[in-house]
Amino acid sequence: MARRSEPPDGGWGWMVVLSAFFQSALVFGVLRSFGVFFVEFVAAFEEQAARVSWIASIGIAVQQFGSPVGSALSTKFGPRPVVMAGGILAALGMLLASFATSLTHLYLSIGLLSGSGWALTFTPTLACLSRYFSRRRSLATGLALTGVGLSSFAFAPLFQWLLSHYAWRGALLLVSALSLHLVACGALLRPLFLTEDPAVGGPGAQLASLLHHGPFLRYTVALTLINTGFFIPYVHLVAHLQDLNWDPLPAAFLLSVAAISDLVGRVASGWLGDAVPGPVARLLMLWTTLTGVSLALFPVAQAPTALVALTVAYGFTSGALTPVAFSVLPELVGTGRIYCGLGLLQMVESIGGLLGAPLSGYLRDVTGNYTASFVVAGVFLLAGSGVLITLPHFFCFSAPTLKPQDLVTEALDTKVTLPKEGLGED
Amino acid sequence: MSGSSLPSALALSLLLVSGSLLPGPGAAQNEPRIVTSEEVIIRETSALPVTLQCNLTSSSHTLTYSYWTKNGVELTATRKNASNMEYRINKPRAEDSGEYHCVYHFVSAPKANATIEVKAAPDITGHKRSENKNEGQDAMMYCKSVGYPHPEWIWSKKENGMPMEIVNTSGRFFIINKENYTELSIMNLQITEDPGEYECNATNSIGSASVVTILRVRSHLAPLWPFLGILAEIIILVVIIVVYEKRKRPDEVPDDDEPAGPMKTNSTNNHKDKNLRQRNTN
Repeated sequence: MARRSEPPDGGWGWMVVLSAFFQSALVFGVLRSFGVFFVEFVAAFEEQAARVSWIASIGIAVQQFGSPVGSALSTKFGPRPVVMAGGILAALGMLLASFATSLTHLYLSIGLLSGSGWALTFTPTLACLSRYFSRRRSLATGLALTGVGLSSFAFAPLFQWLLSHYAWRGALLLVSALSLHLVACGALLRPLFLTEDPAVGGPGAQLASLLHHGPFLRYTVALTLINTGFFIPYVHLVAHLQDLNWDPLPAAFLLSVAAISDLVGRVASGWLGDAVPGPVARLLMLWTTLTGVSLALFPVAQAPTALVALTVAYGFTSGALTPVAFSVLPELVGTGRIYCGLGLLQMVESIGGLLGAPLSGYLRDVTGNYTASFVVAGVFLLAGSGVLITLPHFFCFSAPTLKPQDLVTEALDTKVTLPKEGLGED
Repeated sequence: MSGSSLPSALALSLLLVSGSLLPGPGAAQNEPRIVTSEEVIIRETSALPVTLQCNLTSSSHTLTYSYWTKNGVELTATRKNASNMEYRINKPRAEDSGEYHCVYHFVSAPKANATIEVKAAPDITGHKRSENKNEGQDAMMYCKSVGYPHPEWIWSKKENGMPMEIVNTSGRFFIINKENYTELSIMNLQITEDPGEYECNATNSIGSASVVTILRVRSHLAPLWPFLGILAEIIILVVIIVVYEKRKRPDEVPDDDEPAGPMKTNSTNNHKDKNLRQRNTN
């Protein structure tokens, strides 16, 4: 089978987009809608809400910290077997949870087992997507990530219906069957052989070379800062609106508006990222700066129209930066190291995400309102976008895209042993 | 002779005078008498304001204060010092029904009260629309009402559209009736006989009301069929995807990356094969 020198940018790649769409729906949509089950668990096990919410926290933490494992395995075996195995694990976790007799049972089955399954699916799929596209990479990523938003709309009522018809044990059984579709999605991830693959070696070598890669490390720092500020409005917007004496119904409506503008932002930015020439990092900096500014302006806005406008702006810009954030990575480290790079990146940036919400809550408790936390979130985003300026080729207007030879030279520079044979056939 | 009749006449007159001074059967005239307005029946149709009146017509004792109570609880802002008491209900509804007392307190005398009954047909204000439980669990359905006098409760289950009163042959049904509240508990739900529509009926001398609660019993095996169905669907999908791919590219190796060495040999082979075959098998 001939190795390609260029990603196909279409063809089977669109099936990979479809697979990534369903996977982001089945991983993040399920996680986000799991709150529906919490009420049932609190009643069934007679535990406090705080202890029950640990289930989702453990699941998210395992998914994020396990991403390097998923990436390393898919570098070695290809994404398809890894994602299919991940799907089986995730479904198995839910299946065992339906027989749970205590809360610890749920921590282990949903948190640990399903979390590990999710860790093996999401990151390898996105990395695989980046390998299939180069000119239309941002658009493909943006389209795939819309799965998260749409599934949050659909799964919450679906889970509620399942709970009332089958009780929580039956509902978990059916969510397990739903999660098993990850296996079918994994089957769609046909492996792709690119010319730069043999040059960058196995997972261990890749990890080592990445940790010495200056631009990659700077990008990781930037994304961690961005992640710290990113999630704060999701968590605190409703509470902030309540502080301003909004009724629950208009507040919920405003959240829906934010979700819709987030969706539009993802697709629009995906298209824009491909249409504009030059490094995508510049667009990322644009979106993160705008997001930071809109966040910092939140405390200033008091009138309803201003708040609605700011929410739309925040939704659009924060949705816009997600596909672009994923597209910058292949330009930095090359498609050969994309699996390991993405896994490592997800793991480190999740630290930012874990710290952001409690920090904001602490600021709220200390100052009495959300002004400080919104401003701090904006500052984090602006700091992250500032670090982005230090990335290579940032100010070049005719920057060449990385060729396979460059990658080999870089790898050689970092003194990693490589197979002697060259880059394969033409 | 006249000396002996004078003392007895004096004694008799003294007796008569003191007799008229002592409290006798006529003392009832000194107890407070209260005149009340008639009992009221609140009807759904007429929403005219209702006024309850009490008038303390005769009392030899000083009035300190007076107030209204409803069902034994003093009504706020009704405490006054007046012998003529009025309580006005502007828009009478079933909740306003009950037993009203106007109470008068006196200096160094026991209090006195009079009763006015405000009656209304029962109206059921609280119940569960539906109750969903698993097989073997216990179900609890309740009804709360307003209205006076307190109603009699009857639970029935709709069989073929007709309400049939519940018979406790299986020993699993328990009914608790209180004044304005009733509760039906079913232990150890059976999926064959228990699901259906249960009706609680409240009846008093003025009227009656009833509401329906739907009981659903979930089977343990119910989610199993959809689960197996989805499992089969996924297996079919995966088989289709893999077979489609094998058909399109039979010579592709689906898994590991090949080291570059053997690949060179393969390419030479393909080249040879291409020469042998006349057509492209793609």
